[in-house]
Amino acid sequence: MFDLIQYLVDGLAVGSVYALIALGYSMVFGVLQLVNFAHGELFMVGAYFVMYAISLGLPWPVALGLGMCFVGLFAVAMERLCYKPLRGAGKLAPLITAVGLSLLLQNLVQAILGPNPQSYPARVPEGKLSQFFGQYLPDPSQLQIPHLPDGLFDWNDLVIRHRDLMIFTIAVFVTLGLELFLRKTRPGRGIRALALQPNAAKLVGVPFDFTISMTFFIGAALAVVAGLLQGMADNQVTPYMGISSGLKAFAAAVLGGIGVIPGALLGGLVLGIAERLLVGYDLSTYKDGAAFFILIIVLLLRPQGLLGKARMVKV
Amino acid sequence: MMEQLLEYSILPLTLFGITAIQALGLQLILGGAGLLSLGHAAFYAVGGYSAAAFTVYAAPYLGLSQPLLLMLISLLVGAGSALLAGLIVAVPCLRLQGDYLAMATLGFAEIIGTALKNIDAVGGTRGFTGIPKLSSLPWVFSVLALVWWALARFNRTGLGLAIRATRDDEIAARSLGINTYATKLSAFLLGSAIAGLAGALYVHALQFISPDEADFSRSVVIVLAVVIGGMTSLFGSVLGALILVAVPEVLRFAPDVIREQRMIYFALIVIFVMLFSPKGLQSLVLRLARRHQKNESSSLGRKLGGAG
Repeated sequence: MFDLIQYLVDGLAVGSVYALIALGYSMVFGVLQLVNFAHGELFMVGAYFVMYAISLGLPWPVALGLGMCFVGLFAVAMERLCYKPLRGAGKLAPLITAVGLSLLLQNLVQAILGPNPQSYPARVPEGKLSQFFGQYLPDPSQLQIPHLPDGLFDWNDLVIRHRDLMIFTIAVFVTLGLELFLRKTRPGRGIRALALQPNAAKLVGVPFDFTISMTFFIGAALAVVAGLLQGMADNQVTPYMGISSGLKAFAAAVLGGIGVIPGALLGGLVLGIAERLLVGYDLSTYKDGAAFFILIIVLLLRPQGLLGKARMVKV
Repeated sequence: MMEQLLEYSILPLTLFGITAIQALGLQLILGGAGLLSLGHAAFYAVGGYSAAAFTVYAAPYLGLSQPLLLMLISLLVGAGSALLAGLIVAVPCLRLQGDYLAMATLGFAEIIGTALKNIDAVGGTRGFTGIPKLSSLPWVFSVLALVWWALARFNRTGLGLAIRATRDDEIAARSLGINTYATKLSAFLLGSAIAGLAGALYVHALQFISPDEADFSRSVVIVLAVVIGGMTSLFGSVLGALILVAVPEVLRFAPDVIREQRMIYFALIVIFVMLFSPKGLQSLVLRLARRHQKNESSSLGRKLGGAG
């Protein structure tokens, strides 16, 4: 029984990272009904970007800010070049393009930075790149690498790591902030209007393309936050982290009710806790299936997701 | 040199045939019934594993040793088990719509993959080895031709038409008295069974299968084949399978710079095909053919006009 509570607490941190990625899936799906399969790769690119920026000697808030802008603009460019021309070409064409983009990003990163995991301080792999960048990379011994807090809360035997608590708190605040942004500000209301009724939103003057770009930008920026947290928590980034976490984050978004912001948080936490429970009870080989097992059960009982509202289809 | 080339081309050709059979099965589900299944490779893996388990464990027990008969039975076992797996997935999932259905099929595929990794009798994560070599290139291509022919016939039957009517407008189809649930179910089951056939051929040609075959990336390859080729026709799916198998193979012979990064070029090709021809390459081929035809007929017209 005691273990159970411990696993529940541990699962929150894993789930929080899923939740931060899931927010991007959820927002883009809400507006365009598009599953942006490349979103997981944005998380991976963001994790790399921030790790290299910090290894160049930038303080972490600057590195994070730069990463959010860079990956956000990248996502906007991706939408303009690859998804916008396919609006009205059915649902499958953009989906396949997204799969293509995901493959492309994963292999590009692997080709440039090498297939092996990187950890702090990140080095550029041997070759021309490293000769070029080598002169700019500072001496690793002088580098200030930021750490997530190391301490523990300890009640009787229930241990809560400060770092897990911090990740969880960040995820909750980001979700709350996003929900406030969507409810209270003008551009945020624009996003909700587009998600609810695109044509009516255009009629009342919501700038269509701008709002969609903004949706992609915000989603990507949140994925970078997740990338930084994951990279610091595991002290490792790999070219493949996007595909595995991305798929589960998408499952989390659907689980909580796709298009519903608090749903993404809830879905992420449920999946994270479930995985941690399986690892805790020595069933870790079943871990990857578990997320989807829960997903299917929930979809069958509540097809709109845990917090989603069912929509009537009118003829 | 020629012999080496022929020998080398056996494996890619086999893989092309198997991918084409998978794609034909998915074409019925995706292009025919309009159901996006992101777990098609799982049914293929189930078919492959069951067929292999049959020849390795059950056949000696039953005293079967005649290769032709054994292969035929294992094809049936593969198709049957994939159909059964399809039934387990489809009965609950077909109540879901659109992207939720896609997610549920993806989820089931992951579960099947995870389960296969945990069954020790079929090798677990190491994969299933020691499968007798029963099928070969002629087998693969005969089954491909048979499936293609049968599906072309099937599409013209009442059920085949009902499947497409359900895809185009479910409510209208229901008002015409079509049981839309049953038509979707039959398309899903038939498509899964065809994937099972491909699995049975694969294990007996390569004598090996691993849980990776049920992986999401394998399912994506099949979806890519169907969509890149053009999902509304059988020819498109086979064309798509050809492209998906041939492009990485051909890039293998390209100069070093390109060869090392062939997945990047592959991804770029996928993106560009979708951007410039969202209905698939088959429509591009048809458009070119039609233009060619028009040119011919117009020059014919001019000639006739000149004569008259």
